[in-house]
Amino acid sequence: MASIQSAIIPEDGKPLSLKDAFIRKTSLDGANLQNANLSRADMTGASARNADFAGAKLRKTIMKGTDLTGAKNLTAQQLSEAIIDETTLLPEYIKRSAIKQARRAKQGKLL
Amino acid sequence: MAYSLELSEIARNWGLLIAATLGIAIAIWRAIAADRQSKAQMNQVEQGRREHVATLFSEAVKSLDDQKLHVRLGSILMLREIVSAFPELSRPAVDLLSSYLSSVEYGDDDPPTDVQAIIDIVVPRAEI
Repeated sequence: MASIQSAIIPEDGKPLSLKDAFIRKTSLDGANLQNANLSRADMTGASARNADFAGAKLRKTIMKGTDLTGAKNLTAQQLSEAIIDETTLLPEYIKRSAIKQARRAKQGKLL
Repeated sequence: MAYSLELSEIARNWGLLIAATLGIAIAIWRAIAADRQSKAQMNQVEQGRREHVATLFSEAVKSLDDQKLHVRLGSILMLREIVSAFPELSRPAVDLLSSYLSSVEYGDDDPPTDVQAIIDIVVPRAEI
């Protein structure tokens, strides 16, 4: 297929919304996902290497087996809201323990 | 005799002046009328173009749901081209394509080509 050139970026400045999107195994390598809404999106097995997640909403985003190697501006807090598993490849600066801690802290606040 | 000559000259000059003024007025009026006609024609052409694009957009929307992959790909590319020509349609196009992704389902298979094509269109890549 002929490659699509650059992405369409509307001038209104509204962040990208991919909530509830079914995007398993797609390539989001190098994506600019700043402030994107990925809530409840299914990113199982997707590749998001070197993607920028600054401010992205990952509430209940399924990221099992997602490759987040080299992802930028991702936080344990964001990932604590997503659904990950042991096959999710995390960026070097985020430890699984930090994600668990963030989750516990949030549950503690709710109780 | 000299007096009547002078009078006829004056009358002639006045006549020329009036004719010239009338001629200029008519020329200005014709120029304004031609300009209005030209603008009206341009508006008509632009209106026709917009109607044509609206039709193409609407057809692309319908084809997104087609069973055949090549038809869906065609509609995705069509939307891309429409936005190139009419950037003010970029928001509806992005919203449409993004919402389409919430309606697809392909289980554990590899994503169909149109899904990745839409990702490539709506997801900006970080500048290197």
